[in-house]
Amino acid sequence: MNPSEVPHDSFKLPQKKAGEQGFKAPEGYFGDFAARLQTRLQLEDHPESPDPQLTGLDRENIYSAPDGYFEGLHRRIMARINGQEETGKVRQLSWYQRPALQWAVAAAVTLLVVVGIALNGPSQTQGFDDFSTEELLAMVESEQVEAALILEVMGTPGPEGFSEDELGEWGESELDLLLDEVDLKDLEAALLEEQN
Amino acid sequence: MIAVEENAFVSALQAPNTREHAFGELVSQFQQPLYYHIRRMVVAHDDADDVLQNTFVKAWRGLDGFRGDSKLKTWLYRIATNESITFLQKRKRRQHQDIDNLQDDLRHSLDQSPYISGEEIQIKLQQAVLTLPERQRLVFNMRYYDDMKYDDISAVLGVTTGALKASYHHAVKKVQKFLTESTI
Repeated sequence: MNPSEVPHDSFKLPQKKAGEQGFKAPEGYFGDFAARLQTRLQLEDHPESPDPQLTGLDRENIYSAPDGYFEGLHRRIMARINGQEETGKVRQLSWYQRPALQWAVAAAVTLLVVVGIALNGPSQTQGFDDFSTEELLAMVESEQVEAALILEVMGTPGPEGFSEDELGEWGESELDLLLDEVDLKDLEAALLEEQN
Repeated sequence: MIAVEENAFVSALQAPNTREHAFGELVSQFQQPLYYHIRRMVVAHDDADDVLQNTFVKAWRGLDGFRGDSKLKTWLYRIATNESITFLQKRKRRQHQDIDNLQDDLRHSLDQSPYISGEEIQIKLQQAVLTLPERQRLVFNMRYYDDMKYDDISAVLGVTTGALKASYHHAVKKVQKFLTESTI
């Protein structure tokens, strides 16, 4: 039968209830959709417009160098290089730069530190509040803190902005950079929540 | 610089008889972008001059070791960046400063140093940028002022582009917040 010959009342779609779409989005999904979309767009690489949020400002350079500064720079650098190479040939080490004395000083400092630790005893157990950035970094390196958690604490762009492969490539440099962004108290709270 | 030209230039930099002349070309080509890259980090001209000279002296000494794995520009920016950070760290140690003191000090230099001029909003923008942590400031400067692509910044700092984008995004938000609050 030719489809055009099918009587109109042979096929009937189920009655659609008002407002029903057949699919459901998570609660609150549309509430912040525009904001999330804008964040993602801002994160895209647009060489012609590197900062959509600062487009109202010209990229003016407020710094300047003294007149003639650049004209003489190469000459000054070469003079410094030649001077250093020249003095390097006949350089006499000062008494405090001599290796034997440096070893002696290093040994004395080590001894002082060891004696200091022995006299003062081991440090007390730390709470989360006492962690420094370096210690948190050490935890990150030992995979106690995942990159995804740091991004979650940062709020944006959020772990969903990065693939697992990409996050897998992140090392100390990336986490170090982003840890600057994180309020350590928030990170500590998130860590405690994860542990519970 | 086109790759073929860059290879020939690197060869000239590494050959003893052409080295000094080629190095002069290198300084001439990169002195201004590197100066402003450094200046935005250390603020005062005299400090930028020291760090820039150190950068080129290090580059001269490293010429034989340059294998062309990265572009010359990336290599120089990496040296300049490391020298700037080393300078700021030494300054912190020398003056027993913590990070907040150093940032205050740099903002103070912005008000006091010669060879700084611009509209009030541009000075404020620079003050806002100086509130950012060092590494984030580097990311912001290279992206915003130097107009570098994330791939190039990634090669300089050794950080993935994803992390750079996240860091830059937050930097812009912080700068905006500072500008908004300071104009209220």
